[in-house]
Amino acid sequence: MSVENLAETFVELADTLVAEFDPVEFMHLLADRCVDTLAVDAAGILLVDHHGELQVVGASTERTRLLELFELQHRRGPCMECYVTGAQVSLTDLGSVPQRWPDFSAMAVDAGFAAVHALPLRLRSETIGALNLFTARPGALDPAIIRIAQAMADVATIGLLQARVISHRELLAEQLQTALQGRVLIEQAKGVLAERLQVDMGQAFEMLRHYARSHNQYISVIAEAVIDGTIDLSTSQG
Amino acid sequence: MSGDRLARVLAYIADDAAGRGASVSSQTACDAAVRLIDVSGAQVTLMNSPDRGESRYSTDLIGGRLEELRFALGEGPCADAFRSGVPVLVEELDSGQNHRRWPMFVPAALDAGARAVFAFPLRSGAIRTGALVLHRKRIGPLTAEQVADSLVIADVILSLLLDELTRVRVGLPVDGVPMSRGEIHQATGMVSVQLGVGVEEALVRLRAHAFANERPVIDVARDVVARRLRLNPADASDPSSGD
Repeated sequence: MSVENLAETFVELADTLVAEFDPVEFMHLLADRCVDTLAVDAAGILLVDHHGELQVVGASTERTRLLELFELQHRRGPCMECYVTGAQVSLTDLGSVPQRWPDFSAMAVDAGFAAVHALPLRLRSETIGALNLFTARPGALDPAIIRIAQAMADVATIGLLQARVISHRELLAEQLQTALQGRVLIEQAKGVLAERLQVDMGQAFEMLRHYARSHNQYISVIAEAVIDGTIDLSTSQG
Repeated sequence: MSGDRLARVLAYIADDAAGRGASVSSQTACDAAVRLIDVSGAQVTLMNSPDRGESRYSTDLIGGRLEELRFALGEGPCADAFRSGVPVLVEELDSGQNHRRWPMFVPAALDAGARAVFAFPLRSGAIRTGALVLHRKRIGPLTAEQVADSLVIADVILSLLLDELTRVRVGLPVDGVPMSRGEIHQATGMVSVQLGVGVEEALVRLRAHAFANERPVIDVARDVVARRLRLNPADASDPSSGD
């Protein structure tokens, strides 16, 4: 990873933050950039909901296997541990025994990963979730990479809270709910498309994202329009 | 950890209703919210569009008055919560900022005796049923715990309302699993296309199918997503006819 690449990534993220922005699209962009910049094989951003469970709000791919790995960490696993302690958690060899979370590790190995890392999404004393990184090769991340990864996690947090002062309880609840509900909209819209066009969930997501980008609209707005039937993506696919 | 928040809130709502010899409903959950969140009153407003809506239930006169004001004026925390789909928490109505934000609602709400209002949308993605509105006769914010409990109660009330509005008896999510799994939302979207109905009814039908077949909703949702199960429009009136 070059200095120019890294600079470009942060410029792009900062650009996104300056304008009014779609938190859902931002989380996906950030997950994508984690993969490019940190030389990891998959990335996801998880936020805690009011049930105290972690929900994925952005992923570098919508592969079902990867989403299942996030889902498995709802209540326990490296991301929950990271969220609770506010500290980084790394499992550097998922294939070795014993494993602290054997179900999670087995599923991760099955999906082709050998190591997993979780970094806290934290602003001052408040932790709101975790950045989850997967690599196909075992081993720890280079300390320089970890510092950049934590910077990306910080950008995610600031983006989500839109740099507002979070002493105001309303703003935190509002921003978290916007991101979490945006994700629900997207899952519902994926289901609508999967059934209507007989595509898989990953393809359904790419169609939503592609349409939102090419029409310069929020992905959550497109999702809502797909669900209520006001746009029909089948005619827009080239 | 608060993964057990739902279980705790459900137990509170059930005990509260049992203590008054009632069975659990969206109304008794609303009554329980007043005690659990330590507010003066609560009301549930049903809405199908930002400008329409009706009061479903109110625990006191102030709550009823706040709903009348929303209906008449079309502004206020409840109207905004429904429109934006996220909570609107107002710890002190009588501030310059809030007078500017809701110039007609605030003076009238203060007259009615409310000093703080907290509105939580009854929402799951594209399913938007209305709002749970809590109020206090004194100023002051909700704690982080109270906000989290309120969000959970709003989820429970949404779930109960879906049953009540469609007369499909599913009851509380007894397995203690929040309705917040990705597969449940995906399956809801798929079922809405299979049955040619809105997502709200699709979720009801998914839950009814699970209930009739004595299976967890998440398992049924996974079957739908894996295309092992389709719901048929013909089963509409008979939730007991399974796959």
